[in-house]
Amino acid sequence: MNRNKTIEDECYYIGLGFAGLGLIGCFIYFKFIVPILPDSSCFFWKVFGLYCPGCGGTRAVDALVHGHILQSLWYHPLVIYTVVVFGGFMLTNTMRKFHILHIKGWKFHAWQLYGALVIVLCNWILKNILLLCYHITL
Amino acid sequence: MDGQNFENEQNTTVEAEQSNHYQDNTATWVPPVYAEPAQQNQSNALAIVSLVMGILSIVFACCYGIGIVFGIAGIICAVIGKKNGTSGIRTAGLICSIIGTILSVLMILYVILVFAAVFTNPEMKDLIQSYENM
Repeated sequence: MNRNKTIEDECYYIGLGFAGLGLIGCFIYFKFIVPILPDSSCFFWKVFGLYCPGCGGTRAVDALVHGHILQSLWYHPLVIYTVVVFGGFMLTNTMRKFHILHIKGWKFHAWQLYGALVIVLCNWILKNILLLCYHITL
Repeated sequence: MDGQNFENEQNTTVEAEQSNHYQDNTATWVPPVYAEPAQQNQSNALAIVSLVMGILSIVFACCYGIGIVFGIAGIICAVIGKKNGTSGIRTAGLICSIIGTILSVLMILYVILVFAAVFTNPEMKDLIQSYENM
């Protein structure tokens, strides 16, 4: 039977691909790259004394793994946002695909992606303003 | 007898015509084509991948230029997706990927320059060491 794929199906498979690549990337990073790097702190921060758009990401993941949600939100809000939006989308759509509890999967909306972009840019600008004007560091 | 045969012949030709008409109608009927939504989905999927790659390229641009991988992938997805139609997500993905790629290239050049300076000039090495110990 030839069934028309919805955009949610497409996003689900893309999400699976990204999750797989992310796991492989994490494995390579922690297994092979971290031991080579002399210091794992941000190069942009070292050279310019400013935060880069990704600064605080590793600390945010670490805080989230240890259950410190607010701390993770402070370090980098994109991590929590990704876990909630991407994780929720993947979880509900997996349950929909396997007919678990008759749950309807979350729909895809463009604002979910634009939201991530806005969070990255606002976080970057805000953190540097706090650093330069009020000397508040991560 | 002849008249009866003629009537029978007429009846059979009318039936044949009717059946032909029926067959003609089914033969000329064209089933609806559903290729358009699938193509649209493919376009949307590539646009979404492009924007995700663009965001990742900006986030990872300053991490020793790793963002260049995501940036180039995002640009490729946006260009391929353009053939199937345009959308705001695709345009945003293309812009973000280009910004991320440019930032990554600048960062890679800067890293190369700094490492070259460190390896060629021992004073720079001491300077960076003292900076790290601050």
